[in-house]
Amino acid sequence: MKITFLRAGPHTTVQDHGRHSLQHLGVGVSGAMDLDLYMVGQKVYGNKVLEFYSVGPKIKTDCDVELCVLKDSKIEYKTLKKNEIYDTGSLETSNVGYITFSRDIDIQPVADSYSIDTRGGIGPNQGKKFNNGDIIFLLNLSKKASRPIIKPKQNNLVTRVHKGPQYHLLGEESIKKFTNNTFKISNYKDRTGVWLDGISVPNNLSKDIMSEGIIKGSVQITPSGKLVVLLADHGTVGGYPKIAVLDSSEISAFSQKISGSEVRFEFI
Amino acid sequence: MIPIIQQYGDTGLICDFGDQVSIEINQTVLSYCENLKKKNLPEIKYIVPSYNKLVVCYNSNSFEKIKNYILKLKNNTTELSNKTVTIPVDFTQGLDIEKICSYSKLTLPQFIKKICDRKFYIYGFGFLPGMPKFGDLDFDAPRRLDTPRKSVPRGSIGLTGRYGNIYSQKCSAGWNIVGVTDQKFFDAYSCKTYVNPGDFIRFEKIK
Repeated sequence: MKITFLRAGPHTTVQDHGRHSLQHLGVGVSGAMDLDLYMVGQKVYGNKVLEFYSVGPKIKTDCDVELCVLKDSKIEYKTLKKNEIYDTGSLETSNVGYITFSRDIDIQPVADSYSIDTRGGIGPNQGKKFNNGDIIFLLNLSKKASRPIIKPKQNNLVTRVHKGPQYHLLGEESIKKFTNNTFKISNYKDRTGVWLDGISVPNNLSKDIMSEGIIKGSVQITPSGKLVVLLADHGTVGGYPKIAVLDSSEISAFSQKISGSEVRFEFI
Repeated sequence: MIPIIQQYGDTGLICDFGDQVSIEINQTVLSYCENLKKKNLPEIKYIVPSYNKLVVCYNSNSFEKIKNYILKLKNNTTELSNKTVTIPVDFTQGLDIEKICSYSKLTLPQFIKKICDRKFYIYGFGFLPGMPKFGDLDFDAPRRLDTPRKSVPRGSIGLTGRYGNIYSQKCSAGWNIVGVTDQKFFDAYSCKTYVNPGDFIRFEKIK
């Protein structure tokens, strides 16, 4: 039993809570961008979950299978018959969605995680995203859906942050510009992070800092004063100053903000 | 040496071992990392050592508990492997080698001699799986490129300031490239690295 990706979509992968044991070797955590939504998906059948970015896959199965799609704050169920084609379509109000099947996907974990880390090339499917024509195999057992409820996310303008490790080194002007202005999610975004458009935030550290460990949700300032918020696939270390870091409860919602959305930062 | 420990968001902390970068401080960082990992604290999600800092990511609101654990750790250095590994290098693929030579006021043979005549300490990994970060050069290489290259081959050796790294896979790169090695540094199936922090590498010119 299998599913064929007739169209895989720009970035369709398997994700879970991420890979936590190998950061000292330079291996990223990866994991679901919107962990809240992923966890709902995971509850449906108790099976593994596919994540898609921006556009979902178009698939065909060679067996009867039920699937559940979580996208744009909605949850949908669909029973596919043998050889039926299903198109997940694209996302309108969010960046990532999830699909899970009543028959579990037959893949093996790498370093205790099913997350496909395409940046590091680690995980199932040889660490690669799915491509058109790829096949995934399904297990025999078909489970019943538990039909969990999805809590629609509020698209808050304000994102709550903590002081980053270089907050005090950056100086008052940088902090004022950071907190007193509205920024916009740019088109430059992926699972690694999001570049923000808006006023330049001065980055006048007297010298480069040595690369140091990074926590998801860190807000970096590039040498030209652009803000970059690091998300699920960020590198383990980085050398740009970090003015702030998102409160962990904000990361799922922030990861779903689409290009053009406005953002303001507020220190807790 | 006792690090200064600061909160890094609600799920992390950063242990600062001072501004200085040295083998001795790095070995203290690695020792704290190993000793903390051995404790297997359920609250800790992961630990990231770097040149002179240690970042710990944990379940929300465990700061005081983890901080106290770290402060109680004894800095009895763990056994680091300290082996020296030879890395063959093709310097003809060094895209920035001429730039570095003129910046450092070295002739090409002088530069290659400086790189190959001694060993370099591996401070740790970063940016990519198994990507070694080494030091310390006894000359200054130029700063990072203003615009990083979109892609450099796997095994590209980059320098900036007094530090170097080896891009363990094809990727975008901002450091000055001096050559390329065929050596693989990470196996994505076994998740094993070719070298370890605390090891030394020695470069050998093959071209």
